[in-house]
Amino acid sequence: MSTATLETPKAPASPQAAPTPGRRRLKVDRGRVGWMVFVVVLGVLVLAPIVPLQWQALADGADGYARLGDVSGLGEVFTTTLMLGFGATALGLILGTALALAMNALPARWQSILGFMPVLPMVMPSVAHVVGFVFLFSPDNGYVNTFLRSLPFFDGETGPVNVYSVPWIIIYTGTHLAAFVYLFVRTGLTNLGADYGLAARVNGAGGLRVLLTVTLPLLRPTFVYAGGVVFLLSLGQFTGPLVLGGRENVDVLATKLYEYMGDYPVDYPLAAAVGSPLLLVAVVMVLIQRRMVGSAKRFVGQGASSRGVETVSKTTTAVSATIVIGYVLIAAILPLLALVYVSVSPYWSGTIDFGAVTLQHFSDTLSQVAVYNAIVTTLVVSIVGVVLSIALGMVIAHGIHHKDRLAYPIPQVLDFLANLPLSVPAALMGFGFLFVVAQPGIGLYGTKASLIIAYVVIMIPYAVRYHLATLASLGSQSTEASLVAGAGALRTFFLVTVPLSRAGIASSAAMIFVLLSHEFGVSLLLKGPGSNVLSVVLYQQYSTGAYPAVAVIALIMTVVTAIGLLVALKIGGKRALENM
Amino acid sequence: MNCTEGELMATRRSMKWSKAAALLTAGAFVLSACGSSGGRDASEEIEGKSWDAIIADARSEGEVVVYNNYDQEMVTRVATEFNKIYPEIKVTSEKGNQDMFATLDAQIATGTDGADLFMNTLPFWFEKHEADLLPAVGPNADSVPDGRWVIEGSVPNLIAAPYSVFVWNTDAVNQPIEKWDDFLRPDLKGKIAFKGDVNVSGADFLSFLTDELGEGYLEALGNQNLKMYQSGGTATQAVAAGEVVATMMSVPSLLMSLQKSGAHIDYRFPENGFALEMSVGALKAAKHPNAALVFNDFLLSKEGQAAMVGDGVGAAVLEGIPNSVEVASSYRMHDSAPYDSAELAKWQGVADRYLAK
Repeated sequence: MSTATLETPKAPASPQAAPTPGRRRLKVDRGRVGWMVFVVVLGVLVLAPIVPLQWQALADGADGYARLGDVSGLGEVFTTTLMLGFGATALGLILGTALALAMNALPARWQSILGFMPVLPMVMPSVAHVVGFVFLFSPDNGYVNTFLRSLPFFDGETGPVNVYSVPWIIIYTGTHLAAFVYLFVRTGLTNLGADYGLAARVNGAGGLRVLLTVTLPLLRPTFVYAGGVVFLLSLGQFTGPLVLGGRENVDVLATKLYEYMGDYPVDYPLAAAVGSPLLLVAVVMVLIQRRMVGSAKRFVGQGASSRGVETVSKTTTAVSATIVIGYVLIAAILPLLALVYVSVSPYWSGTIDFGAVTLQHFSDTLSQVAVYNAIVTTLVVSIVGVVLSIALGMVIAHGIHHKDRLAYPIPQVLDFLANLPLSVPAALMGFGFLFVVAQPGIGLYGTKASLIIAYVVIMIPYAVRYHLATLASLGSQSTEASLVAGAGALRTFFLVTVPLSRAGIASSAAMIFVLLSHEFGVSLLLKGPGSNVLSVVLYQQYSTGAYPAVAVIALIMTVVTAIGLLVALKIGGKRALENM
Repeated sequence: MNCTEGELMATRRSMKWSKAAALLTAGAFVLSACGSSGGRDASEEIEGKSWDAIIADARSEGEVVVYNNYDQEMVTRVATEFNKIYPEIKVTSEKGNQDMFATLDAQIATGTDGADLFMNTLPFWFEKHEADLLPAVGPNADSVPDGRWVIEGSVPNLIAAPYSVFVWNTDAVNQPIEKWDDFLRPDLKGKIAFKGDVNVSGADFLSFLTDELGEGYLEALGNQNLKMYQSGGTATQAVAAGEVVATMMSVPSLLMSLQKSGAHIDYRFPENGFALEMSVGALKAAKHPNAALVFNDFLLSKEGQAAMVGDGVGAAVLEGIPNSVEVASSYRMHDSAPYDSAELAKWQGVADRYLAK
């Protein structure tokens, strides 16, 4: 028997033959070059307000650092800063997580009513929020303290709460930042879905066991991100310690920096040196954060396909609703009511007298051209800042998330640069930007563009972290399926990733708009005629002691923010509303 | 991945939104970058120009931007009176504190838009920037008395106002505060507001207290467990609110405003006290130099001085101004010249040692 061997036919020669190895390398290099250019541009943006400042401290033989020893009480300032950082972070994490878990435990109908409310402290401008707390908890004439002393459980002429003391500054900061944690954890819980919990329940695990062994471990990336963000925010806290700490001589690094910046001529070297510990701690925190998260892909949840299946007991509903409503009442409603009352009072007093109500402060404030211009400026720079920072954040997040496809060390550098702006206190960042935009030849000083650039840079960490959390929760199946089907990276990004991230984009747009419309430290240094924002106008009123005008402007800012928030959520669609 | 028609439409909508947002953002960014210009020095333009020509050009410029650290009620009064004579010139007031100094320095260095005039109570900035200021060329400049110029021919004093004022809450304090030692009374312990920030004027005030009453006074005052506030204004508001019951620094216009509103406060000016003088200078880097000079001259007119004084918040630099109070000759006027970094650090140390307990 003879066998015939079939010869494999040769492939016909064709002009569309597979590209030569040299041409394939060119395509890959072009993508890498593009990313490298992007990294360089991002690096310039992020490092511009940081490096010149630190150079000031190192100039003249590190004179700034050499004079640190002459600063009296710096050790105590640093200790207070760390206490505030750790204390507020712990309280914020516990409170924010409890809020998110409580909200998640509520029936769907309750969630649709209460879901947005824990975010209310973020909607109020920070200066106004803390002033509201002063009106409530001032030890001598705060409205809440006055009420508590009328009860038989408390006596004395002052207290029981002293909002100006270190413990209560920590409590205030933690309570305020709990809203950030709530947002992060709530998004994480929603994307996680109920499948894993249900599976554990089916196998006999009780509610607490499910929480401790399934839910919380799966939320580890969220806790790490949220904890890192809140810790850095706490360390760089400025408004709270500025308003609350001054009376009892409580200083933190940010307020100490502000003292130097109020001097003339400004001692830039010393100010930069004083701010250096914050930079150092923040860099260390960023590195620890990355190490603790590890591979985020281990924690991908299955999505919210099975929410709302289980019934919720009345006890669970009552306890959860109490937690949520109690927090909202203390953290948002009461300070807001205090502001409303002071805005219609002739002056701030510790007594409530509805007979003296007046709308004069509203008419006086709203008739000011400066206030109207500030509203317009705030809206313009905030909206443009939101769009640019989200676009930039998405690109950066994409690069970090798909680090396996990018050459080392591009993703690592992107991650580092994306977190760096968080490490610099806003007041210090403001001076850094002033250095840059005031340089001859740049010509951006006093323009809205300088504000926008600064806003984009300081919002990069938030935009990136939010999109990273979204991408991590989405997993890679959809994008890999798109790539396998022949779509390129760009097409996959716009047709798959962006639509699936719509809720996350809207949520991050809302949060970034809130943060930008309230931004103060950077805005104060970059302001000019035509580029003055509401937060600075509010602070100017506060620094003259015009509390009723402060209250009026605070209410205006709250309304502006709320409108912007609703618009952003409307664009994001129903899922974004559910997530909030 | 199966796309429903709805999801496909949503995708196309999201791409349309993305493109629209990108176009709008680029447009807004380009427009917002406008507003800066190259270097500017108006001194050549002004030199030799007649006052009528300056007024005519001021009306054409249509705006004057005034950076200041003044009480805004006063600035509004002045702007209102100014516009009765020059309705074509819009007055834009930008209020700030010492953060304005760095902002102004950047403006001068880059020639970008910003202040046309700077009004403030700290003369050392003017002394440092004498070469960056326009001369006061209007007819009312001749009315400024001798010795009332921070920089002769360029930066006049406008009005002097007491900084040291004894203020107390009448509901909480039975016995009025009439002399400096009254702040050492036991009934006021833990209830006195003081300005915590030792800036240039704060350091000079501490120096005044030391010179007038001795360092022992500062130590005794510190033993009263002072409550620190950001400014005399916030301290005064706290007294009116009852959060504290007394303070020794305030803003006269705020006091009057609070009393008119029904606040239970009263006040006395000490026999020997401390006062601030408010000055003004027009910048060579002004975008509206002619309007700046016209406004500058208005501040030295009888109408401008009367608007500044109002119901009696200070002492006008000109004589015969209605409601102008008299700042006693025993008052020490703030002098910023001695306060360099070392001197400020020294007084910060004094404050930390005696007052911050």
